[in-house]
Amino acid sequence: MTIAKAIASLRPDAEFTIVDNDIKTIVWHTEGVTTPTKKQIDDEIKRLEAEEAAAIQARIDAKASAIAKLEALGLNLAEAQAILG
Amino acid sequence: MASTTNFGWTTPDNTGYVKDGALAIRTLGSAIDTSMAELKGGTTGQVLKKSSGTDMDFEWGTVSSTPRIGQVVGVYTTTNTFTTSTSYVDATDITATITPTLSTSKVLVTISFNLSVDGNFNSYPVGYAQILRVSTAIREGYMAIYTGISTTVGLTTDQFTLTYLDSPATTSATTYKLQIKKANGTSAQTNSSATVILQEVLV
Repeated sequence: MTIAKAIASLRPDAEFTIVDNDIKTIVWHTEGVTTPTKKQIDDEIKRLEAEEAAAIQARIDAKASAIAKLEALGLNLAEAQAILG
Repeated sequence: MASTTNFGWTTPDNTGYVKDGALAIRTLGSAIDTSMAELKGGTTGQVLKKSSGTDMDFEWGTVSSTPRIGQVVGVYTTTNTFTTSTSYVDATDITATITPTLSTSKVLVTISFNLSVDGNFNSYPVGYAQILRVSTAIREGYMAIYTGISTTVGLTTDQFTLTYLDSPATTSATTYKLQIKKANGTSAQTNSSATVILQEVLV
């Protein structure tokens, strides 16, 4: 997770450019936008990382659930995985 | 009678009497005149070329107009530029400057870079890139990501090469650079590394 992605998440309606993920280089293309504080950015990075990890786990869980349901219908594991890719 | 070492022009012997001296001078002069005949002529801008491997076999002609590569400028950078802008912004350090030797020269511009786009489900992230000569856009390209049935897309990166044969019509220092912007999705960025190669094509 990068500082740039965290800022984009904190200011979704604002346009900006940042170089080498360095907050000092940020240029706002939208007027009247304030740069988030370091704490706000750090907190957002943690939140996005947790969200990303949860999303990955949710996909793993959903796939496992789907395989289990297909197996219950009589498909073996190889056949179920062939369907899911 | 003696003769000169390289061209074999006839000259009097060192110890010969001075007899028919004018004839000897005229004979030598005529021989020189004959040898140099093909050096005569030509017009402004022409060059003297060998017509064959035979000594003193020349002809006047023009310089070959076959295009050839002149100077080459190369820049490598690992600077990454991230933007959420929907208008073009400079991709920092992805730029190079060349000073053409001739105003008729062309410049082959090649910029290779990694472009990443980011976005969520159904955002269909699109990133654009263009080459500028000074402030004039000369070449544009884009990448689009179809999200399919994914719930998240995340960062998607692809390698791009934009190429353009430009005719700057100048002998002044000319700067080429890359710009990027996003369309759909949340961001576009140059990623990892990029190279800019400018080759002057002399025509």
